[in-house]
Amino acid sequence: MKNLLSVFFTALILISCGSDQEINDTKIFLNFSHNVDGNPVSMDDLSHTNLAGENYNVLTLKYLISDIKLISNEKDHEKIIKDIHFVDLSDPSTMFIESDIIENGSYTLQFRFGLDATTNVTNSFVNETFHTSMSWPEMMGGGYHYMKLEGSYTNDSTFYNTHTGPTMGMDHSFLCSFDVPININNSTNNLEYAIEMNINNWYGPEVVNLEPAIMMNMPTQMNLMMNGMMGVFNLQGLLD
Amino acid sequence: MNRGIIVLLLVLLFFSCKKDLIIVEGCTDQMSSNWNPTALYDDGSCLYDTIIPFQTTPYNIITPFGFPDMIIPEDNPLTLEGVQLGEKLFNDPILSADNTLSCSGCHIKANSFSENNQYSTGIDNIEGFRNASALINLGWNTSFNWDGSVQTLEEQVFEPVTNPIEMHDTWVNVESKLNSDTIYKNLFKNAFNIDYIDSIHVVKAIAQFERTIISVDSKYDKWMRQELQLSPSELNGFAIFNSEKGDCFHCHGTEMFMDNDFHNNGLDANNFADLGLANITNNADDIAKFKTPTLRNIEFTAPYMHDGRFSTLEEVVEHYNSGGNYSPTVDPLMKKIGVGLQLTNAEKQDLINFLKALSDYNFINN
Repeated sequence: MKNLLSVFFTALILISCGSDQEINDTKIFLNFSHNVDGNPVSMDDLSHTNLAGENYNVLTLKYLISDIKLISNEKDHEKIIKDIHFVDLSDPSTMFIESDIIENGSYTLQFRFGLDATTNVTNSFVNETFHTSMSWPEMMGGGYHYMKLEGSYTNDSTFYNTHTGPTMGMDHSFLCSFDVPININNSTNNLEYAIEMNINNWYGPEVVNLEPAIMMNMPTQMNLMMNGMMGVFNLQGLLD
Repeated sequence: MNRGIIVLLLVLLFFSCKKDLIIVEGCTDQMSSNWNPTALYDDGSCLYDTIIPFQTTPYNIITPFGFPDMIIPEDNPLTLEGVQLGEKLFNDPILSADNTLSCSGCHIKANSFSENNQYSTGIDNIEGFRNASALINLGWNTSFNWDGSVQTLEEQVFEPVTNPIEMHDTWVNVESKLNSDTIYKNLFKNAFNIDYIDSIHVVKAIAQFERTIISVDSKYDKWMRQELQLSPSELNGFAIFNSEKGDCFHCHGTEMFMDNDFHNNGLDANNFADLGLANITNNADDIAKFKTPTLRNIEFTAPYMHDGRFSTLEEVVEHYNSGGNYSPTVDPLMKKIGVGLQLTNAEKQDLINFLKALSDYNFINN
């Protein structure tokens, strides 16, 4: 009897200690949203105005981000959420990412806008949906566009093509890091964040004009990169 | 006394019935060819017919350089038997109501499986309203027809057979004709293991054949393989094609020279005779958008555009060089609307010479 009671209470103790083990089912959901200085994106009237004073709308927005990951506060480990993600404003299915289960810890989010030089190689992603629309000709540097941002400006029949990419083989991709703390423990529910792009911030503070053809314009490509680094993207917690 | 009579009767009954209780030996396996249903004891005499499982010969596609994996539906893998059957059907006018028009009647190999008429004419002498598409490299397309009305090759094959301005037949009639033909019966049995030929398997066979119509051996391809050099004119044309000077690559890019997308390329300003993709999506934003065709073998596929309005490559280049026509749904990639590419005559000829370097003579002639 005494032995049976000992076994019973030992089992009870083991079970009650189980909840202290690091087991959770927390996932991260990333939603992509786009605005122009806080206003909804206009595909019709030329209601947006950039730093250069040009009025425009947005008819096409496609871009690639890569190496999307969580970095621990101690910088001692990372959790890759997704290697490459293609966003197409015309395709709602591209507007979110669902991560795998994330281990307990305190993190920040980081991704690369575009593809780095090692990754951005012609025909590397032939089976991806973005291969046909985002390919960047070999004679201009090869690989893939980082972004296609297109629309009308000044009047309906004048089109701009803000296409960014590896002009002449130069790597114009850049890292985006966000200070928003992402804390996960056993009691954390799924977390949801919005990655917001302010389209107007591509065109300033380094003034970039709307033009039809900039793929081989190195100074403009560099200005777009710098503007991108200075704050095109913002991370907003939605559910935490 | 009575008990004795009963015993005697039972004994008599036993001996009279004894012959019916003899244990029969024989084959007791119901799966055998000589199963004896009366046998109570298996004597090892069972015989079995040799069953040859249905087999076909896989037809393997070698993915060309720079192409993605071919889209092959799981329920219609490529087999040698299916491809050969599909080729026979493709070339057979039996699919048309009056047995005069085959698929190859409007999709001619010498024209890269298109035809040189602006519109094709069906068996009732009624003209169509769109130019016959070139049927090459179809296995890498994600939609079909100029308006993207169908998503698979199998679906696409259904329509011309019954279209009143094309083959104007019925599938009931086609099935009847095929099932009356001993050769087709055997070919379908070999390809699909079916005893009754139905429309599903007809389109499957033709789709299999169409997936094998692959053209990737042009002068350009040989140059990419470093087997020869392009001429200076062709090289300059390549540069114009792949830069924002000509800007052709944005729609006709990658090794497929198409993008599996739909664009309004500024053919008309208004009064659209054909709404294109909008007919399928019922979305006004898709008015006058048509599927980007491949430019491979473009030299052989005149006339050009969905309605065959341009007779020559010169006219096509001139359309883009002049800027095209604005309409609310014109693609923003047509960024030189009203201005044009502003190519010189020499540059236009260089661009055309490069387009001709996409011709695969080996494909056309063999």
